[in-house]
Amino acid sequence: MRPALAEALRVPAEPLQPWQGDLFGLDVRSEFALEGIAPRGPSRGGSRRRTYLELVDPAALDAEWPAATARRLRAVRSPTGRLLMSIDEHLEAGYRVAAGGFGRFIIAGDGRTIRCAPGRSPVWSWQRLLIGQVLPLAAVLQGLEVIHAAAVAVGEWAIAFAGASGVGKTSVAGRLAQEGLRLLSDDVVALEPFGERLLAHPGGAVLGLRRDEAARLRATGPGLPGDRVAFGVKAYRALPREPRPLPLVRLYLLERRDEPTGVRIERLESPDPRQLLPVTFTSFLRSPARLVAQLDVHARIARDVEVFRVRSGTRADAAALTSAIREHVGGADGAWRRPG
Amino acid sequence: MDDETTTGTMPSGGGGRIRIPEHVVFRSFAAQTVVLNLQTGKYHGLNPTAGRMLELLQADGDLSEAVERLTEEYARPRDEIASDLSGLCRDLAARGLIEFEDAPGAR
Repeated sequence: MRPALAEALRVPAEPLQPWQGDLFGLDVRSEFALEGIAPRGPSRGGSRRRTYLELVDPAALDAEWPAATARRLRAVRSPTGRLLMSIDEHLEAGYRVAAGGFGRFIIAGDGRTIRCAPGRSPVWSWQRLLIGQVLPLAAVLQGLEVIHAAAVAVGEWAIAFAGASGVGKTSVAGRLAQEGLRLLSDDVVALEPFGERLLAHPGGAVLGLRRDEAARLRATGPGLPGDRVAFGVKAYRALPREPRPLPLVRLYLLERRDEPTGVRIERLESPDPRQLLPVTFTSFLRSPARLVAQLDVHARIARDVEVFRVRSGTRADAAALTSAIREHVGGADGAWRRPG
Repeated sequence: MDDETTTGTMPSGGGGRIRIPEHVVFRSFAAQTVVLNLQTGKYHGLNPTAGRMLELLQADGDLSEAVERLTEEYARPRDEIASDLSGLCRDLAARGLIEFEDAPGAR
Protein backbone atom coordinates (compact mmCIF):
# COMPACT_ATOMS: atom_id res chain seq x y z
CA MET A 1 0.00 0.00 0.00
CA ARG A 2 1.32 3.43 -0.88
CA PRO A 3 2.56 5.43 2.13
CA ALA A 4 0.49 8.46 1.04
CA LEU A 5 -2.67 6.37 1.03
CA ALA A 6 -1.83 4.88 4.41
CA GLU A 7 -1.36 8.37 5.81
CA ALA A 8 -4.62 9.59 4.31
CA LEU A 9 -6.46 6.64 5.80
CA ARG A 10 -4.71 7.05 9.16
CA VAL A 11 -3.36 3.52 9.02
CA PRO A 12 0.30 2.81 9.71
CA ALA A 13 2.11 1.82 6.52
CA GLU A 14 2.90 -1.79 7.33
CA PRO A 15 6.00 -3.58 6.20
CA LEU A 16 5.69 -5.93 3.25
CA GLN A 17 4.81 -8.92 5.46
CA PRO A 18 1.02 -8.95 5.63
CA TRP A 19 -0.89 -9.33 8.85
CA GLN A 20 -2.23 -12.86 9.24
CA GLY A 21 -4.89 -14.11 11.57
CA ASP A 22 -7.83 -16.45 11.99
CA LEU A 23 -11.35 -15.10 12.09
CA PHE A 24 -14.65 -16.90 11.51
CA GLY A 25 -12.86 -19.91 10.00
CA LEU A 26 -11.04 -17.73 7.49
CA ASP A 27 -7.31 -17.46 7.04
CA VAL A 28 -7.18 -13.66 6.86
CA ARG A 29 -4.27 -11.89 5.20
CA SER A 30 -4.34 -8.13 5.47
CA GLU A 31 -2.41 -5.01 4.53
CA PHE A 32 -3.21 -3.68 7.99
CA ALA A 33 -3.44 -5.06 11.51
CA LEU A 34 -6.86 -5.92 12.90
CA GLU A 35 -7.53 -4.23 16.20
CA GLY A 36 -7.83 -6.56 19.15
CA ILE A 37 -6.91 -9.71 17.20
CA ALA A 38 -3.55 -11.24 17.92
CA PRO A 39 -1.84 -12.09 14.65
CA ARG A 40 -0.97 -15.63 13.83
CA GLY A 41 2.58 -16.79 13.32
CA PRO A 42 4.13 -17.78 9.99
CA SER A 43 1.81 -18.95 7.27
CA ARG A 44 0.53 -22.44 7.70
CA GLY A 45 0.04 -22.81 3.96
CA GLY A 46 -2.61 -24.81 2.18
CA SER A 47 -5.52 -23.14 3.94
CA ARG A 48 -8.76 -23.82 2.16
CA ARG A 49 -10.42 -20.55 3.00
CA ARG A 50 -8.21 -17.54 2.59
CA THR A 51 -9.44 -13.95 2.52
CA TYR A 52 -7.31 -10.97 1.57
CA LEU A 53 -8.01 -7.50 2.90
CA GLU A 54 -6.86 -4.54 0.83
CA LEU A 55 -7.04 -0.85 1.58
CA VAL A 56 -8.43 1.19 -1.27
CA ASP A 57 -9.00 4.85 -1.90
CA PRO A 58 -12.72 5.55 -1.25
CA ALA A 59 -13.23 7.32 -4.57
CA ALA A 60 -11.69 4.40 -6.42
CA LEU A 61 -13.89 1.93 -4.56
CA ASP A 62 -17.01 3.90 -5.35
CA ALA A 63 -16.00 4.09 -9.01
CA GLU A 64 -15.57 0.36 -9.31
CA TRP A 65 -18.93 -0.57 -7.81
CA PRO A 66 -21.70 -0.88 -10.46
CA ALA A 67 -24.37 0.74 -8.31
CA ALA A 68 -26.89 1.11 -11.14
CA THR A 69 -27.19 -2.65 -11.66
CA ALA A 70 -26.76 -3.77 -8.05
CA ARG A 71 -29.57 -5.13 -5.89
CA ARG A 72 -30.18 -4.02 -2.34
CA LEU A 73 -30.20 -6.95 0.05
CA ARG A 74 -30.45 -5.13 3.34
CA ALA A 75 -30.94 -1.61 4.64
CA VAL A 76 -30.56 -0.69 8.30
CA ARG A 77 -32.16 2.62 9.24
CA SER A 78 -32.30 4.83 12.30
CA PRO A 79 -35.67 5.45 14.02
CA THR A 80 -35.88 8.65 11.95
CA GLY A 81 -35.36 6.77 8.70
CA ARG A 82 -31.76 7.72 8.05
CA LEU A 83 -29.84 5.00 6.26
CA LEU A 84 -27.21 3.62 8.63
CA MET A 85 -25.95 0.64 6.69
CA SER A 86 -26.68 -0.97 3.35
CA ILE A 87 -25.67 -4.27 1.81
CA ASP A 88 -25.93 -4.63 -1.94
CA GLU A 89 -25.30 -7.50 -4.30
CA HIS A 90 -24.05 -7.55 -7.88
CA LEU A 91 -23.85 -10.75 -9.87
CA GLU A 92 -20.30 -10.10 -11.05
CA ALA A 93 -18.88 -7.51 -8.67
CA GLY A 94 -19.86 -9.25 -5.47
CA TYR A 95 -21.20 -7.52 -2.38
CA ARG A 96 -20.89 -4.00 -1.06
CA VAL A 97 -21.33 -3.05 2.57
CA ALA A 98 -21.62 0.68 3.19
CA ALA A 99 -22.12 2.45 6.50
CA GLY A 100 -21.63 6.21 6.37
CA GLY A 101 -18.60 7.34 8.34
CA PHE A 102 -17.51 3.78 8.99
CA GLY A 103 -16.65 3.22 5.35
CA ARG A 104 -17.41 1.01 2.37
CA PHE A 105 -16.29 -2.49 1.58
CA ILE A 106 -16.53 -4.60 -1.54
CA ILE A 107 -16.46 -8.35 -1.00
CA ALA A 108 -15.76 -10.59 -3.96
CA GLY A 109 -18.51 -13.06 -4.78
CA ASP A 110 -16.38 -15.94 -3.55
CA GLY A 111 -15.47 -14.14 -0.34
CA ARG A 112 -11.74 -14.34 -1.05
CA THR A 113 -10.97 -10.63 -1.29
CA ILE A 114 -12.32 -7.63 0.55
CA ARG A 115 -11.48 -4.14 -0.64
CA CYS A 116 -11.77 -1.71 2.25
CA ALA A 117 -12.32 2.03 2.07
CA PRO A 118 -12.57 3.17 5.70
CA GLY A 119 -14.50 6.30 6.55
CA ARG A 120 -13.59 9.04 8.97
CA SER A 121 -14.31 7.08 12.15
CA PRO A 122 -11.38 5.84 14.26
CA VAL A 123 -9.63 2.62 13.27
CA TRP A 124 -11.17 0.56 16.05
CA SER A 125 -14.61 1.82 15.02
CA TRP A 126 -14.56 1.06 11.30
CA GLN A 127 -12.92 -2.25 12.03
CA ARG A 128 -15.91 -3.21 14.18
CA LEU A 129 -17.95 -3.01 10.99
CA LEU A 130 -15.32 -5.01 9.14
CA ILE A 131 -15.22 -7.70 11.80
CA GLY A 132 -18.86 -7.57 12.80
CA GLN A 133 -20.48 -7.56 9.36
CA VAL A 134 -18.07 -7.82 6.45
CA LEU A 135 -15.90 -10.77 7.47
CA PRO A 136 -18.91 -12.90 8.56
CA LEU A 137 -20.40 -12.30 5.12
CA ALA A 138 -17.13 -13.45 3.53
CA ALA A 139 -17.20 -16.53 5.75
CA VAL A 140 -20.67 -17.47 4.52
CA LEU A 141 -19.58 -16.97 0.92
CA GLN A 142 -16.80 -19.45 1.59
CA GLY A 143 -19.19 -22.09 2.91
CA LEU A 144 -19.26 -21.51 6.66
CA GLU A 145 -22.43 -20.83 8.61
CA VAL A 146 -22.69 -17.95 11.07
CA ILE A 147 -25.06 -17.34 13.95
CA HIS A 148 -25.80 -14.27 16.00
CA ALA A 149 -24.11 -15.39 19.18
CA ALA A 150 -21.23 -14.95 21.58
CA ALA A 151 -19.12 -17.93 22.55
CA VAL A 152 -16.63 -18.78 25.26
CA ALA A 153 -14.19 -21.62 25.74
CA VAL A 154 -14.80 -23.97 28.68
CA GLY A 155 -11.66 -26.08 28.66
CA GLU A 156 -11.52 -27.77 25.28
CA TRP A 157 -15.13 -27.03 24.43
CA ALA A 158 -17.19 -24.07 23.36
CA ILE A 159 -20.55 -22.91 24.60
CA ALA A 160 -22.49 -20.22 22.79
CA PHE A 161 -25.19 -17.74 23.71
CA ALA A 162 -27.46 -16.77 20.86
CA GLY A 163 -30.24 -14.26 20.57
CA ALA A 164 -31.38 -10.94 19.25
CA SER A 165 -29.47 -7.71 19.81
CA GLY A 166 -29.77 -6.45 23.37
CA VAL A 167 -30.69 -9.79 24.91
CA GLY A 168 -27.47 -10.00 26.91
CA LYS A 169 -25.01 -12.06 24.86
CA THR A 170 -22.13 -9.61 25.25
CA SER A 171 -22.85 -8.97 28.93
CA VAL A 172 -22.82 -12.68 29.68
CA ALA A 173 -19.64 -13.20 27.65
CA GLY A 174 -18.00 -10.24 29.38
CA ARG A 175 -18.86 -11.50 32.86
CA LEU A 176 -17.61 -14.97 32.01
CA ALA A 177 -14.36 -13.47 30.71
CA GLN A 178 -13.98 -11.62 34.00
CA GLU A 179 -14.33 -14.97 35.76
CA GLY A 180 -11.44 -16.35 33.75
CA LEU A 181 -13.06 -18.01 30.77
CA ARG A 182 -11.57 -17.17 27.43
CA LEU A 183 -13.70 -15.40 24.85
CA LEU A 184 -14.02 -17.25 21.55
CA SER A 185 -16.11 -14.69 19.71
CA ASP A 186 -18.47 -11.83 20.44
CA ASP A 187 -21.70 -11.21 18.51
CA VAL A 188 -21.04 -13.60 15.59
CA VAL A 189 -19.94 -17.24 15.72
CA ALA A 190 -18.90 -19.18 12.61
CA LEU A 191 -19.76 -22.87 12.68
CA GLU A 192 -18.37 -25.69 10.62
CA PRO A 193 -19.19 -29.42 10.60
CA PHE A 194 -15.92 -31.30 11.12
CA GLY A 195 -16.14 -35.05 11.39
CA GLU A 196 -18.47 -35.86 14.21
CA ARG A 197 -18.11 -32.38 15.71
CA LEU A 198 -19.46 -28.96 15.02
CA LEU A 199 -16.60 -26.51 15.35
CA ALA A 200 -17.04 -22.95 16.59
CA HIS A 201 -14.39 -20.64 15.17
CA PRO A 202 -12.69 -17.68 16.85
CA GLY A 203 -14.16 -14.33 15.84
CA GLY A 204 -14.20 -10.74 17.04
CA ALA A 205 -12.85 -9.94 20.50
CA VAL A 206 -13.61 -6.24 21.04
CA LEU A 207 -16.51 -6.13 23.46
CA GLY A 208 -18.75 -3.10 23.62
CA LEU A 209 -20.50 -2.95 26.97
CA ARG A 210 -22.93 -0.31 28.14
CA ARG A 211 -21.11 1.99 30.53
CA ASP A 212 -23.32 1.08 33.48
CA GLU A 213 -22.67 -2.61 32.89
CA ALA A 214 -18.94 -1.98 32.55
CA ALA A 215 -19.02 -0.06 35.84
CA ARG A 216 -20.86 -2.91 37.56
CA LEU A 217 -18.22 -5.33 36.36
CA ARG A 218 -15.44 -3.15 37.75
CA ALA A 219 -17.30 -2.87 41.06
CA THR A 220 -17.80 -6.60 41.49
CA GLY A 221 -14.50 -7.98 40.35
CA PRO A 222 -11.09 -7.38 38.84
CA GLY A 223 -12.63 -5.89 35.72
CA LEU A 224 -12.41 -7.23 32.25
CA PRO A 225 -9.08 -8.58 31.04
CA GLY A 226 -7.41 -7.14 28.00
CA ASP A 227 -6.94 -3.58 26.80
CA ARG A 228 -9.24 -0.61 26.74
CA VAL A 229 -9.98 0.46 23.18
CA ALA A 230 -12.39 3.33 23.53
CA PHE A 231 -14.85 4.81 25.97
CA GLY A 232 -17.90 6.62 24.73
CA VAL A 233 -21.53 5.64 24.72
CA LYS A 234 -20.19 2.18 25.37
CA ALA A 235 -16.97 0.91 26.89
CA TYR A 236 -14.96 -1.00 24.30
CA ARG A 237 -12.35 -3.46 25.35
CA ALA A 238 -10.17 -5.91 23.42
CA LEU A 239 -10.25 -9.19 25.30
CA PRO A 240 -7.76 -12.03 25.05
CA ARG A 241 -9.25 -14.45 22.59
CA GLU A 242 -9.19 -18.23 22.38
CA PRO A 243 -7.18 -18.76 19.20
CA ARG A 244 -8.39 -22.26 18.31
CA PRO A 245 -11.68 -23.49 16.87
CA LEU A 246 -13.39 -25.65 19.47
CA PRO A 247 -16.23 -28.18 19.36
CA LEU A 248 -19.54 -26.56 20.23
CA VAL A 249 -21.26 -28.61 22.91
CA ARG A 250 -23.94 -26.26 24.23
CA LEU A 251 -26.06 -23.53 22.77
CA TYR A 252 -28.14 -21.28 24.99
CA LEU A 253 -30.94 -19.42 23.21
CA LEU A 254 -31.47 -16.24 25.20
CA GLU A 255 -34.86 -14.58 25.38
CA ARG A 256 -35.91 -11.49 27.31
CA ARG A 257 -39.42 -11.39 28.68
CA ASP A 258 -41.24 -8.29 29.87
CA GLU A 259 -42.53 -10.00 32.97
CA PRO A 260 -41.47 -9.87 36.64
CA THR A 261 -39.59 -13.16 36.67
CA GLY A 262 -36.03 -14.37 37.11
CA VAL A 263 -34.15 -16.82 34.92
CA ARG A 264 -35.58 -20.08 33.68
CA ILE A 265 -33.56 -22.58 31.66
CA GLU A 266 -35.16 -25.50 29.85
CA ARG A 267 -33.66 -28.14 27.65
CA LEU A 268 -34.96 -28.32 24.10
CA GLU A 269 -34.88 -32.05 23.51
CA SER A 270 -35.87 -31.79 19.87
CA PRO A 271 -34.83 -28.34 18.70
CA ASP A 272 -37.13 -27.20 15.97
CA PRO A 273 -35.33 -25.65 12.99
CA ARG A 274 -37.69 -22.71 13.37
CA GLN A 275 -36.04 -22.05 16.75
CA LEU A 276 -32.61 -21.97 15.14
CA LEU A 277 -33.38 -19.94 12.03
CA PRO A 278 -33.94 -16.70 13.96
CA VAL A 279 -30.33 -16.75 15.19
CA THR A 280 -28.98 -16.94 11.67
CA PHE A 281 -26.63 -14.11 10.77
CA THR A 282 -26.55 -12.67 7.25
CA SER A 283 -29.98 -14.20 6.66
CA PHE A 284 -30.29 -12.03 3.54
CA LEU A 285 -27.91 -14.40 1.75
CA ARG A 286 -30.24 -17.05 0.36
CA SER A 287 -28.32 -18.80 -2.38
CA PRO A 288 -29.05 -22.54 -2.70
CA ALA A 289 -25.57 -23.37 -1.43
CA ARG A 290 -26.06 -21.17 1.62
CA LEU A 291 -29.47 -22.61 2.44
CA VAL A 292 -28.12 -26.15 2.23
CA ALA A 293 -25.11 -25.30 4.44
CA GLN A 294 -27.45 -23.65 6.92
CA LEU A 295 -29.75 -26.66 7.01
CA ASP A 296 -26.75 -28.95 7.49
CA VAL A 297 -25.48 -26.93 10.44
CA HIS A 298 -28.91 -26.70 12.02
CA ALA A 299 -29.32 -30.46 11.71
CA ARG A 300 -25.92 -30.88 13.36
CA ILE A 301 -26.87 -28.54 16.18
CA ALA A 302 -30.07 -30.49 16.75
CA ARG A 303 -28.17 -33.77 16.74
CA ASP A 304 -24.85 -33.02 18.42
CA VAL A 305 -25.29 -29.91 20.54
CA GLU A 306 -27.25 -29.56 23.77
CA VAL A 307 -29.68 -26.71 23.18
CA PHE A 308 -31.36 -24.78 25.97
CA ARG A 309 -33.84 -21.96 26.02
CA VAL A 310 -33.07 -19.30 28.62
CA ARG A 311 -35.92 -16.98 29.51
CA SER A 312 -35.11 -14.04 31.71
CA GLY A 313 -37.59 -11.51 32.97
CA THR A 314 -37.30 -8.03 34.39
CA ARG A 315 -36.04 -9.33 37.74
CA ALA A 316 -32.94 -10.81 36.14
CA ASP A 317 -30.00 -8.60 35.32
CA ALA A 318 -26.82 -9.68 33.55
CA ALA A 319 -25.29 -10.91 36.82
CA ALA A 320 -28.29 -13.13 37.57
CA LEU A 321 -28.37 -14.42 34.01
CA THR A 322 -24.67 -15.27 34.07
CA SER A 323 -24.96 -16.88 37.49
CA ALA A 324 -27.84 -19.07 36.32
CA ILE A 325 -25.91 -20.19 33.27
CA ARG A 326 -22.77 -20.82 35.27
CA GLU A 327 -24.68 -23.00 37.74
CA HIS A 328 -26.38 -24.78 34.86
CA VAL A 329 -23.08 -25.64 33.20
CA GLY A 330 -21.12 -26.41 36.32
CA GLY A 331 -23.62 -27.73 38.80
CA ALA A 332 -24.54 -26.67 42.31
CA ASP A 333 -21.10 -25.46 43.34
CA GLY A 334 -21.00 -23.12 40.37
CA ALA A 335 -17.64 -24.36 39.17
CA TRP A 336 -17.01 -24.49 35.44
CA ARG A 337 -16.87 -28.01 34.22
CA ARG A 338 -16.75 -29.54 30.82
CA PRO A 339 -20.37 -29.73 29.66
CA GLY A 340 -21.90 -32.92 28.34
CA MET B 1 -55.76 -33.84 -8.12
CA ASP B 2 -54.91 -30.45 -9.47
CA ASP B 3 -52.97 -30.90 -12.71
CA GLU B 4 -51.69 -27.37 -12.53
CA THR B 5 -49.73 -28.08 -9.40
CA THR B 6 -48.53 -31.62 -9.85
CA THR B 7 -45.91 -33.14 -12.06
CA GLY B 8 -46.94 -36.44 -13.60
CA THR B 9 -49.74 -38.65 -12.36
CA MET B 10 -49.88 -40.81 -9.27
CA PRO B 11 -50.24 -44.40 -10.40
CA SER B 12 -53.00 -46.35 -8.73
CA GLY B 13 -52.40 -49.42 -6.54
CA GLY B 14 -49.25 -48.10 -4.87
CA GLY B 15 -46.94 -48.83 -7.82
CA GLY B 16 -44.81 -46.60 -10.02
CA ARG B 17 -41.75 -44.50 -9.37
CA ILE B 18 -41.02 -41.05 -8.09
CA ARG B 19 -37.93 -38.96 -8.04
CA ILE B 20 -36.81 -36.11 -5.87
CA PRO B 21 -35.68 -33.13 -7.94
CA GLU B 22 -32.20 -31.72 -7.43
CA HIS B 23 -33.61 -28.51 -6.07
CA VAL B 24 -35.13 -30.37 -3.09
CA VAL B 25 -33.00 -31.29 -0.08
CA PHE B 26 -34.00 -32.65 3.29
CA ARG B 27 -32.38 -33.30 6.64
CA SER B 28 -33.57 -35.24 9.64
CA PHE B 29 -34.08 -33.55 12.96
CA ALA B 30 -35.06 -35.34 16.15
CA ALA B 31 -38.80 -34.76 15.88
CA GLN B 32 -39.21 -34.02 12.19
CA THR B 33 -37.68 -34.02 8.77
CA VAL B 34 -37.19 -30.62 7.22
CA VAL B 35 -37.52 -30.41 3.47
CA LEU B 36 -36.15 -27.37 1.70
CA ASN B 37 -37.19 -26.32 -1.79
CA LEU B 38 -34.15 -24.43 -3.05
CA GLN B 39 -36.15 -22.88 -5.85
CA THR B 40 -38.71 -21.26 -3.60
CA GLY B 41 -36.60 -21.02 -0.42
CA LYS B 42 -39.51 -22.56 1.48
CA TYR B 43 -39.16 -25.07 4.28
CA HIS B 44 -41.62 -27.91 4.85
CA GLY B 45 -41.83 -30.14 7.92
CA LEU B 46 -42.62 -33.84 7.89
CA ASN B 47 -43.42 -35.95 10.93
CA PRO B 48 -41.08 -38.88 11.59
CA THR B 49 -43.20 -41.39 9.67
CA ALA B 50 -43.44 -39.16 6.61
CA GLY B 51 -39.73 -38.47 6.92
CA ARG B 52 -39.01 -42.19 6.86
CA MET B 53 -41.22 -42.54 3.78
CA LEU B 54 -39.25 -39.81 2.04
CA GLU B 55 -35.96 -41.48 2.94
CA LEU B 56 -37.09 -44.70 1.33
CA LEU B 57 -38.34 -42.90 -1.73
CA GLN B 58 -35.02 -41.14 -2.13
CA ALA B 59 -33.10 -44.39 -1.76
CA ASP B 60 -34.99 -46.22 -4.47
CA GLY B 61 -37.90 -44.24 -5.91
CA ASP B 62 -40.04 -47.34 -6.33
CA LEU B 63 -43.36 -46.92 -4.62
CA SER B 64 -44.13 -50.64 -4.38
CA GLU B 65 -40.78 -51.32 -2.73
CA ALA B 66 -41.38 -48.51 -0.29
CA VAL B 67 -44.81 -49.89 0.61
CA GLU B 68 -43.31 -53.33 1.29
CA ARG B 69 -40.55 -51.92 3.48
CA LEU B 70 -42.90 -49.70 5.44
CA THR B 71 -45.44 -52.48 5.93
CA GLU B 72 -42.69 -54.54 7.53
CA GLU B 73 -41.25 -51.69 9.61
CA TYR B 74 -44.50 -50.43 11.00
CA ALA B 75 -46.37 -53.76 11.15
CA ARG B 76 -49.46 -52.19 9.65
CA PRO B 77 -51.79 -53.49 6.90
CA ARG B 78 -50.35 -53.05 3.46
CA ASP B 79 -53.42 -51.21 2.13
CA GLU B 80 -53.19 -48.70 4.95
CA ILE B 81 -49.51 -48.04 4.25
CA ALA B 82 -50.17 -47.75 0.52
CA SER B 83 -52.94 -45.26 1.13
CA ASP B 84 -50.81 -43.17 3.49
CA LEU B 85 -47.88 -43.18 1.11
CA SER B 86 -50.12 -42.28 -1.78
CA GLY B 87 -51.51 -39.32 0.15
CA LEU B 88 -48.04 -38.16 1.14
CA CYS B 89 -46.82 -38.35 -2.45
CA ARG B 90 -49.75 -36.33 -3.71
CA ASP B 91 -49.09 -33.71 -1.09
CA LEU B 92 -45.36 -33.58 -1.81
CA ALA B 93 -45.98 -33.40 -5.54
CA ALA B 94 -48.44 -30.56 -5.08
CA ARG B 95 -45.67 -28.65 -3.28
CA GLY B 96 -43.13 -29.39 -6.01
CA LEU B 97 -41.04 -31.59 -3.74
CA ILE B 98 -41.27 -34.82 -5.74
CA GLU B 99 -42.06 -35.77 -9.33
CA PHE B 100 -43.77 -38.86 -10.66
CA GLU B 101 -42.00 -40.79 -13.35
CA ASP B 102 -44.72 -41.81 -15.77
CA ALA B 103 -45.17 -45.58 -15.92
CA PRO B 104 -46.42 -47.15 -19.16
CA GLY B 105 -50.16 -46.69 -19.38
CA ALA B 106 -50.31 -44.59 -16.28
CA ARG B 107 -52.74 -41.70 -16.99
